Amino acid sequence: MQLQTHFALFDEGSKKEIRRAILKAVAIPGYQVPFASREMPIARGWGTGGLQITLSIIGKQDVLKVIDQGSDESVNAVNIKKLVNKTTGVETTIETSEATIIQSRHRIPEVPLTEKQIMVLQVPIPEPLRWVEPSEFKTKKLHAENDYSGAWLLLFEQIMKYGKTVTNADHPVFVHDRYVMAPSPIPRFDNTKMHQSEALILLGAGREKKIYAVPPYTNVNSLAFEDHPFEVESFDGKHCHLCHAATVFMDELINQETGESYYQCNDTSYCLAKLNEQEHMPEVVIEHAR
Amino acid sequence: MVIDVVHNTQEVFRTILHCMSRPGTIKNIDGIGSRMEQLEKCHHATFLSVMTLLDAEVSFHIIGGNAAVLEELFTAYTLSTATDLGQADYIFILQDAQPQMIHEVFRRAKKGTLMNPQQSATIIMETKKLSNDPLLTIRGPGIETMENVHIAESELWRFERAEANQEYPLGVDMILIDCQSNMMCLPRTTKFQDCEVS
Repeated sequence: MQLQTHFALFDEGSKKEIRRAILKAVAIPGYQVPFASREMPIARGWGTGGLQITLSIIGKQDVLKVIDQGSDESVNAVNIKKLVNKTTGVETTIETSEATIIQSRHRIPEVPLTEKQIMVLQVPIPEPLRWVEPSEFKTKKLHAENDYSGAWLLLFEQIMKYGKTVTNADHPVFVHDRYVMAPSPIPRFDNTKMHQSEALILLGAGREKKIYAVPPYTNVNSLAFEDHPFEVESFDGKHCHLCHAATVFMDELINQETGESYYQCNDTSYCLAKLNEQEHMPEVVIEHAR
Repeated sequence: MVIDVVHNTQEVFRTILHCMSRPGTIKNIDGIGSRMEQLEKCHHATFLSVMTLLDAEVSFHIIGGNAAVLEELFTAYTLSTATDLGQADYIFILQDAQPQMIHEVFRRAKKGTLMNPQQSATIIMETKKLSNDPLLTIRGPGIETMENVHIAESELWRFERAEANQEYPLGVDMILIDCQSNMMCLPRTTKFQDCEVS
């Protein structure tokens, strides 16, 4: 017997509550709106926040892409894609430009997003001040009072200790010059893609029960000191060993035999598209030349 | 089936989401669901918004029109409860609301608190006409540079709205609906700037 699940798994009451939270999040950019996070068929910490947003916004006309650290093929991405597809019947894709909803764990795709797309990011720890203040009540108060000295101090201490900020990912950002926000553990390389983005960006933290958003065309500035400007990961002189792209975020891999390191695009669908492009290089056919 | 509560409400929500994240953008939802005959006193799009946003967890308040009849109808369909203006999560300002009542709404509506700015009212307002004619310009998040808007009789509430939203992140968000089922949203971050006539 095949059980018929409700469209997009959730009951309509759950969808309504999450949708209301999403609308508030869009109206107050960067502010973490509390919501009644549901039990999901995947474990907490495996993308339940992103999944709840995706299931609440998705409709029959949508095309879904799910990535995990830039890969369309990882277990997490494939399972989430399958779950959404099974309960909604929507098409899935690996082409960034074809998708209307892109759910992602820790990356913003290399292909620029458009205004027809919604980016959904999975967030493990939505509170940028959690490292300096364990109490949720107190961090809420700090946000209310616009007191971000803790976030600045964290960066200052890193500079004192290491001569530079050492936030590999999840480097805090100022949204619309008011809220400091955790952009989810995307590399610093992707922080700049949030600034004045064409697409709406929704962020969901399931375990922490928070939804927040960055509307399109909104100022998103990474926290930095004047004498220590914000720096993204540099891949100067490096290129992808498969498609030779040089201006994208890359993973460093080690050749087991020689011990040498080489680089590869982190965004697999971008790499694949580039390889296919190179495969079909238009050749000039001499006999038709006039 | 007049309104498909699964798919029609999803379409309406996505429209509201699109408009809320891109203030000034006008989207039409006339084709979603079919009109209810007993709804002479509020626009089709207003009822669609009710079905999309309201349930037993939130409260609402109606200004203007035949409020008592509509209250009963909204509650019957969504299980949401009608409450006092200062407590309501959703405030509906119907087409025939008196100007002084509109002022009252912006004065008394919940603006949220600094700890919880999301505990504020959303105002769903019916208006005669929405367009992108260059009468007023708006700026803010979601708008690349500026957006031209024309909202019929907005002079009745623009100043009061600005007052209600002066202490960001406190404020009220608006969903505007006209009689052709056009929809436009103005979150608290959007600022009006009267056009200069050259």
